[in-house]
Amino acid sequence: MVFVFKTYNYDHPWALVNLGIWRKYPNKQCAHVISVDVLDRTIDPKTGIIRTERILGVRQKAPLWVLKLLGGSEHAFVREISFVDPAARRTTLTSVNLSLSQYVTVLEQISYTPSHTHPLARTKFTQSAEIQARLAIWKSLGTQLEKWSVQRFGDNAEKGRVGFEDVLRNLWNRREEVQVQEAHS
Amino acid sequence: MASSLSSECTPLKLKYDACFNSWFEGYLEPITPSGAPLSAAAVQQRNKDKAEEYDRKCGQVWKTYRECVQKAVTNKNLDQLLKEAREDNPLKDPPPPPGKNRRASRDRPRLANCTLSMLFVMYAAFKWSRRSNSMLRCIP
Repeated sequence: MVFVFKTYNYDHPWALVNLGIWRKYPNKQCAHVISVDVLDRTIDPKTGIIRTERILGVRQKAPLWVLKLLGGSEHAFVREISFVDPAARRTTLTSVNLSLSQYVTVLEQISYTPSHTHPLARTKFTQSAEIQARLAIWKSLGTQLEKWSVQRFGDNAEKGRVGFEDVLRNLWNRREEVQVQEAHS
Repeated sequence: MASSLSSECTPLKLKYDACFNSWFEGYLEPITPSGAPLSAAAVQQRNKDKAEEYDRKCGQVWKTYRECVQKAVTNKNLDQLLKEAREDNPLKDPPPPPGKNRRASRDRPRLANCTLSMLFVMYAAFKWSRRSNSMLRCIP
């Protein structure tokens, strides 16, 4: 598992940053995000917390050989869950890849909170990512290796069988010859 | 605003996004006539009013847009992936703030995963070495 952690301060108040979250795409800097859709959205009438589930379509930058090997396509999808908590003044976004998730999951957590030093003017951004290869990648490689091994073993066993049969046939023929010679003498 | 994953849904998506954004504007900065912070009771009342306002203003377009997206998700074979992702991480509540030592309990199944995969590799290597042996001997 790999961890990545980053923090940054935006020179904008938290409320404005929140407006920006819903207007972030399309974005020239993030041209890999092609589509954004809201799948679910609830607004808690008690707490005021807005929970949003989105699906982002991205053009993935994985090397072509990886996609070929693992059977992925150039278009990948990411599920993102966000919570905007007006009382705690905290916004969190959690996103996980849907495509190729049986092999590798990239779980990204982002939070936006008013900065400690300038709560009205600045917003603290924190980002962490956990990148984890799944057991399935071993299984898949293991299965491939096993298949290949079985194939190789079968081929070699066949060669061995044919070779041994030749030896036996030769032995048999030679014995026949000997018997014939003995009968004649 | 970015387009939808299905071009057919994009006009509905843009309409819905515009509705939500205009509702959301000012949501996090409640303005009081005196400029003083709202009382707890007033906050509760406002949350309730805003939730109702959202339903009233955006409910209809949300319904049609959602139907369209759900169909597109099914057409792109994303249903199963989404179902699994929702089971893995339901995320019904906001994640706890950092520093609350939430890792400890989640690390155990991962450790087990790691150990299992290492055992598997060792087992595969063991099987492989036995096979190569018998191949060398050329005995069926």
